Amino acid sequence: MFDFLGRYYPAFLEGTAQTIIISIIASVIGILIGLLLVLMRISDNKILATISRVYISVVRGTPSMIQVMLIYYSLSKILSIPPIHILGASLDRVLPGSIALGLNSGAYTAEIFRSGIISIPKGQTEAGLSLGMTRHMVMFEIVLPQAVRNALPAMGNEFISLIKESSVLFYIGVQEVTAQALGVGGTLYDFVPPLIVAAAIYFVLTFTLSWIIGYFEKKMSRKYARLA
Amino acid sequence: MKKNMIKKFTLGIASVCALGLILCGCGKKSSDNSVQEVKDNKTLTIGTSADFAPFEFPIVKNGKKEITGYDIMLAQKVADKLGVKLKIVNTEFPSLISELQNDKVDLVLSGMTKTAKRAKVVDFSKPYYTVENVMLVQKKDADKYNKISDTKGKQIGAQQSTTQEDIVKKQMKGANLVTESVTTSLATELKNGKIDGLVLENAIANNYVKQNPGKYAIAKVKLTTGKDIESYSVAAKKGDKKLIKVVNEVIDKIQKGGTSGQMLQDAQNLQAKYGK
Repeated sequence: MFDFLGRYYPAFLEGTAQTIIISIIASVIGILIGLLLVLMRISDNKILATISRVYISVVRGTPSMIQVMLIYYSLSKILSIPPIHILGASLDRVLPGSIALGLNSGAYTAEIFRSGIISIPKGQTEAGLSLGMTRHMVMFEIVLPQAVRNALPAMGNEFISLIKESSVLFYIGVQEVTAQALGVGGTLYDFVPPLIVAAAIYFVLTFTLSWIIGYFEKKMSRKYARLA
Repeated sequence: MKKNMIKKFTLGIASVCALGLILCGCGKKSSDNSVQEVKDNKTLTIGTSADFAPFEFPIVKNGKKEITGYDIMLAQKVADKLGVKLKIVNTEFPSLISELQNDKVDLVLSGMTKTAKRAKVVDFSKPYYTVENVMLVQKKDADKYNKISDTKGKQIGAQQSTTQEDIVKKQMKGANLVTESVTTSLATELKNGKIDGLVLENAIANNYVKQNPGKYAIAKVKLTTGKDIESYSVAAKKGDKKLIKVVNEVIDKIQKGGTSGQMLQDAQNLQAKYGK
């Protein structure tokens, strides 16, 4: 059933490399955007808060496949990225695609960060302020470090769904794992075995990721357990 | 609170529209320098949806993945004539026209038929392959579908945004149309009995039967393939007449010399060799 792997494993390796590249770029962008959005959202500036709210509701309320296609076709009009190939990935598709995924993920990470921030009792902020710390210091030295720790499990979920969601990039011609599986299926005139291989690859990726996140979770809570 | 909701809703709609506006601001090209552009770039970039063996499909040769098939061989001939390299962009079939419109590819070769709707937004070459459509069914149902009315109430599949989809919609009035973006997944559904029939182009249907003789058969039902949709053409950006002219010359040449039949044969052999 899986004889084809002997011949077609390079296609799957190429797809895996692309999925990993996309997921890394997208999650970095997602974290940065999410952080920015949540700071805007909880700031006293009404305009910034509204922009952030609207962004989050629009992005969460529309399908990522549509967002990816819209952003790809509008980005490709504005900036021209040279079609350089890295690990079989053409940058002029991979970059806009990962940016689009990152912008999408940012809306979710912003909400995750916010739930982390809300979980820190207000008393800590007040205590910090009354000790003469600035708002900025309170946010970055007291609230955020704890918020990140509280948000870590939910963040892990988000990264895992990001990896799986990256398959929508085939709509803009990125040859990630799902695209490769469908292509190989097209040559074999049989779909199920390549899709099983793709599923296995996704599982290995997400399983490794959740193991890494679990490790960090443990490490961070150890530190706080000692403090408490 | 309610007012706030309305405000948010309006803002949301407004931002979606704004994005739409950015997208629609396409510039109109004034003069046709399509051939010059390809030569300047030293590459002919074509778009295809490589899930349509034997016209386009991926193979791994000497450890390297490549996309091949009849359409790719034709594209290579066009690139050779222009003296440039060939670059292939593989994407979903429904995305191909927008790839052209957004200047991401120079030509689309993906077993695409010239329809009036498509011809409004892109230009087509002369036909390079004549199509006949048939319905692929499970082997055990080979004698079950003899006329259109036999498909009444059945689940009939066709690839999304294709002419086959139109055929099911227009000719099989009583059937339930099932569309997916990839043909092969529909064929798998047919094999598993999730759908009852799959409308396909003749050469592809024959290949399915050849590769899985015990599983598939071609039904006897006659499908009319409309005059305007009976052949495959190469698509180019609207107004790229010069590039179309080069493509037409290549098509003339392969059809006169009998190369066309040989190319299809080669493509089928490649699939048989690598599709195991």
